[in-house]
Amino acid sequence: MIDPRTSVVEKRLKNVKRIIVVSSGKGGVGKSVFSSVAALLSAEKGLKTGLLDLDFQGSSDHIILGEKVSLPEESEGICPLRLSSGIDFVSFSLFTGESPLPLRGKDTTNAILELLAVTIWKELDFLIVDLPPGIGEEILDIIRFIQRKEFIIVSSSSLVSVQVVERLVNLLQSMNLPVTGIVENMAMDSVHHVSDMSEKYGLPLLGTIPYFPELESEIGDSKKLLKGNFAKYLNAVVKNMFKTK
Amino acid sequence: MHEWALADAVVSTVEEKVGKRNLSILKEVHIRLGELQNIDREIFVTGLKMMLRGKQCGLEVFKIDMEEAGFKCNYCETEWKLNGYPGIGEDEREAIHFLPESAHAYMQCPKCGSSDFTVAAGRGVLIESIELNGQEPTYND
Ligand SMILES: Nc1ncnc2c1ncn2[C@@H]1O[C@H](COP(=O)(O)OP(=O)(O)O)[C@@H](O)[C@H]1O
Ligand SMILES: [Mg+2]
Ligand SMILES: [Zn+2]
Repeated sequence: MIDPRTSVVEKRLKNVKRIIVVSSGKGGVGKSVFSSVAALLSAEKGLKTGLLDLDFQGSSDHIILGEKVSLPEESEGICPLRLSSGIDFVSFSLFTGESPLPLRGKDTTNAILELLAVTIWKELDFLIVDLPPGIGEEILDIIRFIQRKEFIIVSSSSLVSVQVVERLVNLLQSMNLPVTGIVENMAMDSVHHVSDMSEKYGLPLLGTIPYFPELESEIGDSKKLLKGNFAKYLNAVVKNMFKTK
Repeated sequence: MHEWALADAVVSTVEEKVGKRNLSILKEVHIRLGELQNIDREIFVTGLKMMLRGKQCGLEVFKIDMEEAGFKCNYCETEWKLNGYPGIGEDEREAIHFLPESAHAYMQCPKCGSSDFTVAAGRGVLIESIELNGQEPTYND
């Protein structure tokens, strides 16, 4: 049996200039708010921006952006949902809403491959891919199926986070995969584990974002998010991100 | 119409296998369409036709069979078919059409109610074999 889908993934992404995979290895460090707000900032700058939420267990980018999701339109493939902010958006939530989607390994691979094989991405400057935590199926599939990609690593300041994130950095470097840099989120001034890690692995620290208690009140409202402090700090990070390469 | 994206995938795969040789070397490409994804066969064939335009091989090379969908519960091992499974709404069918794994959000084991099941057969589009003139067919995996 031959799976025909792998042969078209590159073709579906051929109009995308840069594919930025936001990963961490660790959950709850801010990958999804980072991905969502980075996409908002990029779109606000007039850049053509896509956002692909691959966290099928906890897809949350549509919640963060306050977008109502629905089944996508189809043309010669599946068309990403055009959000009010101008972002082209795909997520498992387009298909399964808020229902739980319990998938085993092989199903996960199948689901990711299907999305990559049938989604027709238009011309994009950036496609931001939000990953679930872990170094499991999803990240290995992304590594396998998507040729042109670069990783951005998000970590919180705590040793508990850094210690897990370091395993991912190790994995990516051992596979010679491009890592654009590390972002420290919910930063604590008292510790330097993230900057130590960035030095140790020779990776740029793209930015340090403090913990903002008011972020919660901005969740679910793209306009508020864009005006908030989190976005202000992220803007500096995103500027660095746009500059690299 | 996203059938076309899948037809495109089939033709791309066939081209990859044939490599630098001419597509006229194709004797038979055997395709299986899984019942779960509910691919519209006619639209799929039209898609194939589109993708083959200007290439040295015609539709007659493609043999398409449908495969019945079958499920097996990972919890109680009950097996069941799609045919006869009650009450999947139209939106849910459409979601499964786009992404067959959506079935895990909308179907449960008819015996124990578990969502932890395996799609044992008939998931989506597969190429069963590619046969070239003067050569044995290749069955990968
Ligand atoms: N800098 C920050 N300040 C305040 N809250 C934050 C910050 N970064 C993330 N959060 C919150 O932390 C929680 C986890 O973030 P999320 O993006 O879902 O993490 P992940 O995707 O890595 O699991 C969310 O409730 C988010 O709003
Ligand atoms: Mg997340
Ligand atoms: Zn059961």
